[in-house]
Amino acid sequence: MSTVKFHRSIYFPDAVSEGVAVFAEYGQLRIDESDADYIEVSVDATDTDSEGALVGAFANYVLGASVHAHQEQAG
Amino acid sequence: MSTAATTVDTANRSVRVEVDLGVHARDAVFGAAYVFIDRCYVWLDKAANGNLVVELRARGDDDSALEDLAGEFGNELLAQSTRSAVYERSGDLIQAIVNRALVGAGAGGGATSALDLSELESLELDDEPFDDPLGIAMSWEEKYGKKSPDEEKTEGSKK
Repeated sequence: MSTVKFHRSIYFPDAVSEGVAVFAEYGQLRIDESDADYIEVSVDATDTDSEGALVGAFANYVLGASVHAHQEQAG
Repeated sequence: MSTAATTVDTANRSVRVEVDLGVHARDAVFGAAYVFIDRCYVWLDKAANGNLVVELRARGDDDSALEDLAGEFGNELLAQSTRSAVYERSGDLIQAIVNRALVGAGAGGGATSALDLSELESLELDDEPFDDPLGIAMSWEEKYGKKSPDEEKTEGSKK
């Protein structure tokens, strides 16, 4: 199992939730919002050999969604 | 590079770039990171000093050198920063030029795009020649241009 940390000042919570929903078919992803600075997501891939790729692809997805959200916010 | 400190982690096949936000805008870092999404795995984090840390991890089938990856990221970051600075300085001018071009192309809608062509339909157009005693409908070449030898012969015989 891997854990990914997304800093709240960079990543949008909605983007993280969206990413979790999109990648749910490839494993179990759980959001932990207890930390004040970070949103933590634990990733347990169905195919353990490709967990690194799953974590990376998930992080890229959340980053892309967050960048879009930042742009929309900036107008 | 003074504006972005780089640390290579060969075991993890990743490179960390700390970007000085006093030099590069936050949006420029986001833009550059976004460009690299389809080349490698990208994480952003906040350093203790408030700067942004960008971690680029090579994908499984990508053997490109990590230093090269960091260098290319630095170049992209510079390009994004420059673009952002240019837009900030002349954004109003760019917007005005685009608006003018769109209005000129008829994309403004309203009056320019809705032309009243009903008058054309009421015109009676036929192929019948009309009277033109003063030669108003003739072109300059027809009226004063150099005559061909046949035409000159015809005119000469008239005299």
